[in-house]
Formats: sequence, C-alpha cells, structure tokens
Amino acid sequence: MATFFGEVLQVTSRAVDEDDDDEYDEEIISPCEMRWSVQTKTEIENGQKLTCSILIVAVGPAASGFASSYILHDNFDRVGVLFSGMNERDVNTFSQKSITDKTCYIYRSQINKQLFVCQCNSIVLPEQAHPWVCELFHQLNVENCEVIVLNTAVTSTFRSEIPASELSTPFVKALWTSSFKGRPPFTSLEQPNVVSGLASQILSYCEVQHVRALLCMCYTESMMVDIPTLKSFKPVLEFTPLKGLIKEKSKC
Amino acid sequence: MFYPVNKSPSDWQQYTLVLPAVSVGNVGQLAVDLLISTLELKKTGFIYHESILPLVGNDPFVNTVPTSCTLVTSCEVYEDRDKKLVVIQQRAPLIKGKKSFFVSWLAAWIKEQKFKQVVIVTSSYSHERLDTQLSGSQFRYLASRQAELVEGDKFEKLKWQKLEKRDGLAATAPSENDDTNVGATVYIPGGGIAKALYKECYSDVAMIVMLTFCSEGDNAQDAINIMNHLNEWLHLVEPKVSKLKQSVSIPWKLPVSWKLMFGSPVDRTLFH
Repeated sequence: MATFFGEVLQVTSRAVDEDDDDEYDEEIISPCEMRWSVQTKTEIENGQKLTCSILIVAVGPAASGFASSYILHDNFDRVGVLFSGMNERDVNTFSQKSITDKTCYIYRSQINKQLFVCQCNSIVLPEQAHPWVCELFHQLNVENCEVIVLNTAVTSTFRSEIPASELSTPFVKALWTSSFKGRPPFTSLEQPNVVSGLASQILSYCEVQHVRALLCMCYTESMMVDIPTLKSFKPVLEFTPLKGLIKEKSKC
Repeated sequence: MFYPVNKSPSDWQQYTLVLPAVSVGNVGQLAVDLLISTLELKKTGFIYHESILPLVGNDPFVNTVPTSCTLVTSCEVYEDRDKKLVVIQQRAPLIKGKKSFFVSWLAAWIKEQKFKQVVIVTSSYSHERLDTQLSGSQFRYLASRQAELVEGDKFEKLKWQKLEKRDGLAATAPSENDDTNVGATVYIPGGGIAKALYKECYSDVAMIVMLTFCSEGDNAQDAINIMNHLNEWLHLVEPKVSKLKQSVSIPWKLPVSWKLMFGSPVDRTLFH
C-alpha cells in the first residue's frame, strides 16, 4: 500500500495473514501425549475412567506457584504427565522436578481420591489447546465434577473505563459455565475483556459438555511470580467445594 | 462439532443462515454482532471445533452485573424462529494449517442442515482493488448458481454490484458454466474462508457472498453498510424514518462489547 508520501508499506492485518490464501495446509504442531503412572494405568485398564469430583488446573507459573504453595502437600501423588510442544531435545519423565523443565503433571490426593490437581508449568500454545484438553479429559470422568482453572494475565491487557494506572493490582476476575452453581469468590470479568489460550479451551470444553467450571483470572503488573499474585488466589480455598478439603501449609 | 443447547433437533430447511468469514478489519464478525444484538437472537448451540482458536468471555450483548456470568465461546450459533434466521458468530481466528479442514466440515454441516440459503459476510483488501473499483459503492456480492435460481433478478433490482471476475488468475480459460473454475475467477484477498467455502458449496447450496473493500482500522461503519444491504434484501429490521429530514435509517443496536475498542483510557495526568 502506498502512503500519502508515496512510500510503499507492507500491509498487515489483525484478522488475516498475508499468506492466508495459500491453498496448501500443513500441520506444524507436535502432538500431545498423556502418560499415566503404573498404578493409575492399571486402574484405567480395568475399563474404568478415573472419577473426579474436583479438578484444579493451574495454568502458568503464578498459578502453578499457588498450587505448590497452598494445595500440593506431601499427601499428593503424581499420577500423570501431559506432554505438549516438546522439541526433539526435550526430555520429560516422571522424575523431573526442576522448575525449568517443561512439565505438566497431574496430582491426585491420597485422602480424597477424587481430587485432582493439574499443574501446568510448560507453555501450551493456543493452537495446541484443543488436543491438550481432549487428552486431559479422556480418562477422567467429570460428570459430577467441579473444575477450577487458575490463570494470570498482565494488567495492561485488561480493558476498563478506569485507566490501567489507577487499578489496584493484583485483582482476580472470574468466568463460569452455565451449569456452574454457587457463588464464586470473585466478581465476573466485564466486557469487552476476553480470555484466550489454554484456560479458555478448558472452559469452552466444560461449557459444551455441561460440566461445572470456574475460571479465576488474576491480573497482575508483575512479570515475575510474586507473593501478592499468589495470595490473590487464596479466596478460592474458602470456596465451597474446596473449603475444608485443602489445609493451608503452615509455612505459607 | 455442533453442540445444540437443547437436545431437541432443529429443522432449518426454511431458514437463512448468515455467517462471517474472519477477514480484513473483522467486518464480517462486526456485522454479525450487529445482527445478533439488534434482533436479540437466542443462542441455540456451539461450534466446538479443533480448527478454531479458543476464547471465552462474558455476554457481549448485555451489560452483566458483577455477580452474573453468561459465558460465550469462540464460535456460537444463534437463531430467530419468527424470522427464520440462523446466525453463526465466530469470535476467534482459525488455526494456521487447519483452514481447509474447517471449511470441509462447515460445508458438510451446511449441506446436512439443508438451509434455504446461506449468506457469507466478508471483506477484501482495499489496496487490491482494480481501477474501476476505486470509486462508487464499495459493496460487492457473489451468488452461487442455486442462489441465482432461487432469487432470480432480485439483486439486479436492488442495484447490487457483482464482484468483478479476475480472468487473468486462471491457468486455463474459465468458462461460465464450469463449476471447477469457480475458484479461478473469484478473487477475495483478505477474505478468509469465504472463497473456499463458496467454492465448496457453489453447485449445491444457494449461497451469497456479501463483501466490502476495506482496510484495517475502525471498521464499524463498514459493518453497518454491509448490514444495511442485507436488510435491504431480507427486511429483518424495521427502518426508522425521521420526521424532519425524511431520511430512512436502520436502528442498529451496537453491542456492549464494542466499547473500549481502542483500549482503556490513558491516565490524564500524563498530559499535564
């Protein structure tokens, strides 16, 4: 496109790509893979899905940090691992515990066998969210389940009549599915804000499958994981299905 | 996959389907938003497909209170039984590499539902226009063979202009009656899946492509223009006649979600 001054500019569009009209399509994403622990595998092989009454999915470093600090005690077993977006050089096994590893582990409470926590430390691309969610729910019976998704975003992406500089951060907004009953611990996310990525895929799946689900979206200014951000999720623990189930770690 | 809200099967044989193509300036999506908002259409189902990027938000058409949430997802189907209208709204783009997969699924679904007619609302890069397209109305349409049979010379009567063919694009000389050459003469750069879907449905679905030439920016007016044309044809919204000026306008209701289109206001103290 030529401008008023005659220079030719590359035209970009927010909606379509330059090469959008390419006739050929190719798959660019590596597939997702779920691996269960030996004990859980035998349970699944008996033809039964794992009955799940509460599933907490922590997406991103801050939510994962919250799960580690407040939810995952010693009495949780690591029962599964979900791989996605792995390079050829990436290794992922059950034994990897380093925080730099691309891990996405599924934990199960020893006390309440129907309580699962999925701690997603690796970045799941939005393009990969659909197969990821299929894999996650494939072996879980979520018919009577309460799904709680924790996620974070930066405040600059939050749209409001109030300028971003005047918002007191961090703050948490929630979205929930139509079958969700009860009073969420946070106010709902106002228009025109939207949530994209993995968290939205989980919620979309729950909406079409009539599963009760709540998404808690923390808006924070900090690029790094900080204590106020972690603490902002705390009202979730007081929320009805979780109340009393999860005891706060004494050192937190 | 299409997931209905209620499990009762719907018979849409006498219905018109309106759907957007994610295109330059998001004109199609904005236009469909206007239609859903003005006619207060009811949600009748979801399209949950692996080709569409995920997205969720609160109800974009009404101001919700902080204690309530009506979830919307990336692709949903709305319906008006009185007006015999079905509308698809797609709120997120398609995944790169899965476009043709989605088009063939959508075409199969459209054929299965046996809609009376299908309208695709889209847009095309204004910098790709021919010299003859630079002035005058920026609105164009395309009608499949079935659509021409159903509608006859209606579009000529409405003085709609057909999208100009681009013969130079064809490897072989295109002929009017050859279905295989549909794709060769139709040129909608930046129009998303519109062309592919039109090609797929050309011979057996009454399909009309409505488009406007535009560039990225505030494309609300482009969406209003295109919907005015749709209303001229289908008479969905009652026009409002002003007493003083004797002018006719369509009272489109802008959705709540159109606010803050350019982000939050900036802190005023920056300019002190």
